[in-house]
Amino acid sequence: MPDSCPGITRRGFLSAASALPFSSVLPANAAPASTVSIARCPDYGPALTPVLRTLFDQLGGLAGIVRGKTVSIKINLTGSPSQRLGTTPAEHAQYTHPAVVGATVRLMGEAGAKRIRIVEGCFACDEPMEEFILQAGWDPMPLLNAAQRVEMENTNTLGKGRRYARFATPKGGHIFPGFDLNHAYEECDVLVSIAKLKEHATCGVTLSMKNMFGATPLTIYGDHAGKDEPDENGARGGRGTIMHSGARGPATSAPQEKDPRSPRMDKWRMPRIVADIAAARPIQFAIIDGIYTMSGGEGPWNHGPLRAVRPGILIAGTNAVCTDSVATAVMGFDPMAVRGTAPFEACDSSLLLAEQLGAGTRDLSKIEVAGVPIKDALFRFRGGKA
Amino acid sequence: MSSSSEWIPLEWPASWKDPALLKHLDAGPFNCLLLPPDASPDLRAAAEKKFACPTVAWQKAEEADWQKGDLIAIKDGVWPDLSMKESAGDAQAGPTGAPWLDANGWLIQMARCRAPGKTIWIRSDPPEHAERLTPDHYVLALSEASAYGARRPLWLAPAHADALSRGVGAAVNTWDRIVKAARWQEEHRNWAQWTPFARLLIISDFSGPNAYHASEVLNLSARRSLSFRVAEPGRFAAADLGGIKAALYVDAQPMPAPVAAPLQKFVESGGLLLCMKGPGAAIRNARPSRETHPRFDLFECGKGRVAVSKTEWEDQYVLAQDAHLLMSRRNDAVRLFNAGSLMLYHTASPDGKTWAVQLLNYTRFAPAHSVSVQTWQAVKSARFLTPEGGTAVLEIHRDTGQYEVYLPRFSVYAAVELELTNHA
Repeated sequence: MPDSCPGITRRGFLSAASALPFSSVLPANAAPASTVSIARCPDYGPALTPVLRTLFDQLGGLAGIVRGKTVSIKINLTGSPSQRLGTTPAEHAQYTHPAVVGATVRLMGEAGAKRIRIVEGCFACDEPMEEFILQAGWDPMPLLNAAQRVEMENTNTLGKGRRYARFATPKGGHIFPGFDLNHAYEECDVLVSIAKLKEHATCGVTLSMKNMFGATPLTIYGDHAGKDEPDENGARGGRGTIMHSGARGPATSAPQEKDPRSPRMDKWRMPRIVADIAAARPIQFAIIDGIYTMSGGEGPWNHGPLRAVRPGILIAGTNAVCTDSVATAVMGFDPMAVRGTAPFEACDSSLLLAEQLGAGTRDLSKIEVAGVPIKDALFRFRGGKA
Repeated sequence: MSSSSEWIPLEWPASWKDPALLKHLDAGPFNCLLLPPDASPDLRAAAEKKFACPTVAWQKAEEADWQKGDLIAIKDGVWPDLSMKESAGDAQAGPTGAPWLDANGWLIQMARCRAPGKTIWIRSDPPEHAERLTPDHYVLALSEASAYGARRPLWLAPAHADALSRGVGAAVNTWDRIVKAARWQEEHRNWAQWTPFARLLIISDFSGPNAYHASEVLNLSARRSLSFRVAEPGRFAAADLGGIKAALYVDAQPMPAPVAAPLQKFVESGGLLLCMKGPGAAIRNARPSRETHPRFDLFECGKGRVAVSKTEWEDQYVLAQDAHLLMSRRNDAVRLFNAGSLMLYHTASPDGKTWAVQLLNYTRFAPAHSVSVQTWQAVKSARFLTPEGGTAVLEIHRDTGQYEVYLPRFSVYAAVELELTNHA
C-alpha cells in the first residue's frame, strides 16, 4: 500500500478504511447493466450529426428518453478557455467539442425535448456560460439556436435558481452522503453528461461520471466557498481545498463528509467523490466525445507526455458506469482494473467505487455493446493506435 | 535637439564620473542625458556637446500638472514585473487567482489622455534588489513604455553600471542587448502613435476622490486583456465615442452637460453606458429593463442600455469584469491563448487597415505552450516582430470564421502586425 498510495502508511490506510461504513465496500452484484453504443466519426464535420443519430438509435432512439422532457446537458469545459495544449484548440483536446453539443441539442430538439439547458461549472468563475465560451473562441449562438428553448447556465452558483437542490448519495456514499447542486440538476427530467474521452491525473480516466465533478458549485465546494452558507461571491478558484485535499469541509449548510479521519489524499478522495456524485445524481444519458482528444492527462496543465490524438470515436449509453467502462476499454485499459493497475496506477477506480454504490456494472461481460465492437474501436491511449 | 518628443533619455549613472564613459553611448540611440545634480563641470560640458541634458521636473501622477510644458515626467511608475511577496518568494495572487503584475501601461494611457500631444516619460524608484536585474528586466522596462507611447529613461543598476564602466563582459553584453532593443523600439514607435483599438471607453477626471478608483479600473481592465480608450469629462467630445460599444463613466459626481449629451445619443443609438446613480440621472428616457443583474439596475434607452450601479463602486476588478461582460466578450477584437502573464496593447493604423498587437511578458519566462492570437476579423497577412529575432511572416490559420496566428517563442516583448482584409 505505501508504494501505491504515497503519503499514507499501511496502518494509516487500514485505520481509515476500517472507519468506512460497511455499505461503502459492498459487492457489486446488484449493479445494473445497460447497452452502450459505439460509433466511428472521423471529425466534427457534416458526418457528425448522422453518426450521432445512429449512435442514439442503437440505444433505442432519443424520443423515448427526451420527448416532452426538460433536459440538462452537462458539458466538460475543464480549465481556462484561454489555455491550450500547444496550438490545439481546447475543443480538440480537453473540452467537449461544441459541434457534439450542438448536434446533440439539435437531435434532442427533433426528438421532442421540451426545454434544454446546457450546463457547466465554468472554470473558476460565475460568468454567464455564453461569455465564458466566447473566450474559447466559440460562438454561443449556434448552440442556443440548435433547438427551441435552449439556454445555458453556469452552475457554479445559485444561478437562476432560488435554492440549491439536495441529492442524497445511495448507501450513504463513500465520502459525501449527499450534495447540494444548482437547480438545473434537479429541474430536469433527463440529465445528460457529454464528456471527453481522456485520461486523468487524479482519477485515471475522466469520462461521463468524472465530468459531473464540475457540477459541484464553487460557492459551496470551491476554494473560496462560504463557511456556513454558500457564498455567492465566492465562485472563483478551484475545488482543491475542499474536494481534492479535504483541508476543510464544504459550507456547513451542505452535507458534510462522513468521516473527517479518512485519508486526505486526492487520489483516494477524488475517485470516491466522483462515484458519490454519480450515484447521488444519476446520469440518464452519457455521451463521450472521443473524436479528437488528448492523451496523457485531462488538460494542458498536466505534467508528462501530453498529446493531441484522434481516436475518431463516439460512445453513448444510458448508464454512466457501463458507458465509462466501455470507454475505458476503448482507451486500451481494463475497466475491472483496481488500484495499482493502469489506468489506476496511483488512484482508486471510480468505476469500481460507483459499482459498489449500485450505480452500474463495469463488467464488460454483462454490458451489451451496439455498433462498432470494442476491439475495432480500440485506441490505446498508452502505446499508440491499436 | 530641442523637442522633448525626440529625446531618448538615459539616466547617467552617478558612479560614472569620467567623461570618457560617454563613449558607451556612441552606438546607441540615446540622445538625452539626465545628469546627476553633482555631475562635474567637465562631465556636463562633455555631455552637452553631444546630448540634450535637460533638467526634468518629475511629478507624481496624482499631483501632476498636465497642462504645463511639453514634457510630462511621471516619477511614481513601477518596475514592470511579476509582483512578488518578498517574504514568501511567491507571486502575489490577484482576484482571479492570476498573479498580480506591476505594469505601467494603464498609467501611460491615462497620461496621454490627460496631456494629449505631449511627451510622456515614466520612471520609478529602483527595484528593491537591483542587483538581481537581468537584461530582460531592462528590455521589458524600455519596451513597456515604448509600446504604450511613452519613454522610460534607461536606468542602470549601480552594480551593472560599475561593471560596464570596467568593461566586464557580461555587463557589456547586457548593454548591447539594451541598446539593440532601445534602437528597435525607436524604429517602431509608429504603432504606439496609432489609435488604441478598443470597444470600451473609460471616462473619468482621475482627480481627487476619483483618482484611485478610476486608476485601478484602468489597471485591472488591462489585466483582463480588456482593451480600452480613456477620456476626460473636461475635454470630452462625441468623437471619443467612435467605434465604442460601451462607456464606463467612473466618477460619482453628476455628469457635465457636454458629456451627457453625446452619451445620450450614444445610448439611444445602441451603446451601453455604465455609471453610478448620480451621473446616470443625466440620461433621459431610460425605462427599466426586464434583464436583471446582481450589481446593476438595467435600463433600456432607445436602442441601447444603461447600467446603473446599485451601490457605489467597491471592487475595481469586479467593475472591470462587469463592464467587460455587460458589453460582452463578443466585442473583444483579439484574444490570446496560453498568454499567462502577457499583457497586450492593441492599436489600429489611421486608415484602419492594419492592427498592431504589442505583447509584453511580465514573467520574463516563455509560456509553457505556444501563444496564439485570434480574431474574428478577416486577416490578409501577419508579421511577427521582436527586437531580437527580426521579422517573420506568420501563417494564418482559419477555423470556423476565425483567424489565428501561432507565435514563435519570445522573451519579453513581441509585436504582431495584422493586415486586415476588410478593415474594422
